[in-house]
Amino acid sequence: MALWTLKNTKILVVDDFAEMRSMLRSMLRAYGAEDIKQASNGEDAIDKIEQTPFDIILCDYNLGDGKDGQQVLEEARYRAILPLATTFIMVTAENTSTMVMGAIDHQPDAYLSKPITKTTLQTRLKKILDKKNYTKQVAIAFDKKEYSKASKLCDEMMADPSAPHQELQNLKFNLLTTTGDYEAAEALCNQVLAERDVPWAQLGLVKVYFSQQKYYEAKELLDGIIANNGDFVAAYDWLSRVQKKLGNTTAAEEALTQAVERSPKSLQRQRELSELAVINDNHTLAERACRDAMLIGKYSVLRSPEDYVNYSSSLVKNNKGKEALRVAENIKHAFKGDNGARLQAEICKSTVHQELGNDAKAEAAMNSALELYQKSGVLGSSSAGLALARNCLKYGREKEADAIIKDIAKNNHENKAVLEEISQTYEDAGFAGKAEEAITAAIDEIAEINNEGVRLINEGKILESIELFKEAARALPRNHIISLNAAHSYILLMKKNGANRQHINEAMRYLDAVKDIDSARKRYNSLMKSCREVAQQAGL
Amino acid sequence: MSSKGTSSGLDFSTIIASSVHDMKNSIQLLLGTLDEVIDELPVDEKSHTRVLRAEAEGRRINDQLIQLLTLYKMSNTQHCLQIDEHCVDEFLEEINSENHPLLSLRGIELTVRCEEGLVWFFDRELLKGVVNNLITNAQQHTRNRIALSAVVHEKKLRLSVSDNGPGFPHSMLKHGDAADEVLPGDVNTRSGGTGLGLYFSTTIAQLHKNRNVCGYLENSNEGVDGGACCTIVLP
Repeated sequence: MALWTLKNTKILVVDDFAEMRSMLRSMLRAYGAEDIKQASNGEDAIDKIEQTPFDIILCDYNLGDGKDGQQVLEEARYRAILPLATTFIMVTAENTSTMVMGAIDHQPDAYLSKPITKTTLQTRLKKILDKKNYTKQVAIAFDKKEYSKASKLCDEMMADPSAPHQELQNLKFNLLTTTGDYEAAEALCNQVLAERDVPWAQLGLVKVYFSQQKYYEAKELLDGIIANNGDFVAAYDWLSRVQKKLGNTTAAEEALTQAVERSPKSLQRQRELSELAVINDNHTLAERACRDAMLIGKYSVLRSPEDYVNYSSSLVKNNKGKEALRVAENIKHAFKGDNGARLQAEICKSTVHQELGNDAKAEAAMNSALELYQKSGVLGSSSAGLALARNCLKYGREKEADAIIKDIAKNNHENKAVLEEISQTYEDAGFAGKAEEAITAAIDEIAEINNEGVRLINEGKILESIELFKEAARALPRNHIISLNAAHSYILLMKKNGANRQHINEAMRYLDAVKDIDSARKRYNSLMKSCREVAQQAGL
Repeated sequence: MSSKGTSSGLDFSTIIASSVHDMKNSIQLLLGTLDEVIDELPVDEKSHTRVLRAEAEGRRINDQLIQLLTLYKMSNTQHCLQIDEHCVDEFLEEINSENHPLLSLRGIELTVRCEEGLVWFFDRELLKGVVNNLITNAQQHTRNRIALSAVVHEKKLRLSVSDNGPGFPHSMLKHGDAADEVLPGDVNTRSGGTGLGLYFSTTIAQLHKNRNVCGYLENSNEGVDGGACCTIVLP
C-alpha cells in the first residue's frame, strides 16, 4: 500500500521508552525501512549520531533524566556531527509550539506530536522529507558560506508553486541578515507580513531594526506582537535585549522573566536573566537564574565554567559562603581535564575564601591560579581576569596584577564598562593613579597599531597591513577596533584584486567577532555592505 | 482551573504536563497495537469491525484530550495554537483514511473534494479534532453520505463537512457573530450532546486569527441534497 518507500533510508529512533521504540520501528518497517538504529537516551543518541550519518532522526523531546531532545539537537548541530541532509524530527507529547518552546536557534525540521500512527507517518513524513529536499541544497550552500549561490537557489525554488514558500522565505531572510543586507531583509518581512501575521517575519523585522540600532522602533513592534500574543517567548527575549539597549534594565529583567516563566529550559535565556539580575542588584533572582543556568548546562554542550563562577558569586552575595565554596569546588569535577576551567575554579575559590575571611586559603588558591595562568597565558574572560587581579592586589602580587590588567585593558580599550571596572579595582586596592596609566598605555598602543596600519594602507601596502592587524588580533582577540581594521584590510585587498572565497571568509570571521558590539555596529554594517558588494562582483 | 500550586505544593500545570505525556504514550501504544491487529485480521472477520471501532474510539480519546488541554491552557491564558502552513488536500486525505474504514462498514460513503496542492495556515492537530467532531456529528444524521471539501474564497479557507441527512433545525442555523454566544452546557439539539464539541469547534475557529480577523463556524442546509453543512472559515 505504500506509495513511497523508506528502503535504503538510515533511521535513528530515540525514545526512553523501549515499547515506544519498537512500535515506531515496526511502523517504519511497514514502509520498507530496514536500517533502523535506536537510542534510549540523549547521550546514546549523540554517540549514534556521531558514528552514522542518518537520513532521518525521530527523537522524542522527553528523554527522562539527562539531555532532552532539544539538547540532543543543539549538541549535534553545535558539534557539527549532524549532516545538513539529515531530517531531524522532534516527537512531542503535546501540540508544543515552537513559539512556546522558544527554540529559535536550533529548530528541528519538524515537530510530530503523538500519537504517530501509520497514517500520520505516511502523510506527514513524506511531506517533511519533500520539504527537506527543497531546503537542503540552500542550507548546504548557506553552510559553506556560499551566500549568493544560496540566495539564487532560494529564488529559483520559489518560482515553483509547490515549493514550501514559508521555509524558503525564512531561509532567504536568514541569508540576507547574515550578509548584513538589512534593507532587503526588511522588504522581505514586510512583503510576508502584508499577507499574514507570520511569527518569524514579525520577529525578523525586530531583528532588522535591532541591527540598525533602531531600538525604539523595535520596541514598538514588540509591544504590538506581545499584545496580540502574550506567549510569544522569543518576543520577550528580544524585548529584553531592546530594553537593555535603551538602558531600561528593570524592564529588560521583567521581559526576560516572562520568557523564562514560559520556557525555562534555555541556557542562554537563564544566563541573560542572571546578568540582568546582577546589574539590577536583584540578588534573589540572580541566585535562582545562575543556579538554573548551571543545572540546565549540565547536559548541554554549551555549558561553561563561568556558569558555576556566576552561581558561586551570587551565593556569596546572599551570604551563603559555604555553598559558594562547594560550587567552586565542583567546577573541577564537572570539567575534568579542562585547564581553563581549573583556572576559573581557582580564581573563584580564591574570591570566595577572601569574602569569607580565609586569607591563607584565598592566597593559596590565587597562587594556583597564577601558576595556571602563567602556563597557558590565557584568561577565560575579562571578569575572571579582574577577579584574579583584585586578589593579586590584595595579597601583594602587584606586578602580576598590573600585567593581567594591562592585557584586559588592551583587549577592551573602548569598552567603558570594563575600563570602569579596572579603575574601581585599582581604587579599591588603594592605587588610584594606576588605572589611568594602564588605560592610557593600552589606548596608545592600540592607536599606534592602527596608525601604522593606516600608513601601510595609504602606501598601498595592503598585504602588510593585513599581516599587522592579523598579528594584533591574535594577541588581542577581543579588541573590536583591531578586528574591524583586519576585516577592512581584507576588503580593500578584494576591492583591488577581486574577491575570493578565502578572503571573504577571513573578513566575515573578523566582522562576526564584533557583530554584537554596539559601538562597532555602524562600521560593521558598512563593512558588511562592502563585503557583499565585492562578493557579488566576483559572482560569489 | 488554576495553574497555581495545589495543596501538595506541586504545580498543577506540571502535573498536567507529565500526565499528558504518559497518556499520549499510552494512546500511541494503544493505536499502534490496534493498527497491528487490524493488519493481521481478515477483513470479513466480525472482530475486524470491533477493532476498527475500538481504534476510532482511541482516536476520539486523543482528540478530546487535546481539546481538554487546549481549553485548560486557554483558561490560563496560555498560548495554545501552533499555526503552520499545511497542505489542505493531504490533511483531508489523512482524515479520510482514518475515518473511512469504519464509515464504509456502516454504509456511509465519505468523499473528499479539494484542489491539489492547496495550502493554508492552521493548527493541524486542533483542526483535525474539529473536523473529526463534525464527522461524528454528521454520521448520526446522514443517510449515507458525508462530504469533506475545502476551497479558498476571499482570502479565507472554507472547510466544510456536509451530509445528506435532514439538515439543521431552523434554530441551529446561526453563524458568524452569533456563534460567540455558544457556551459549554448549551444543549446541542442536533446531536443531543453537551455542546462541548460545538463550543470547542467555535473556540478553535476563533483562535485562528490573522491580521485582526478571526475564524468562525457557519451552519447551513446546503449540504448534500439539502442536508446539513457545517463550514469552518479560517482567515
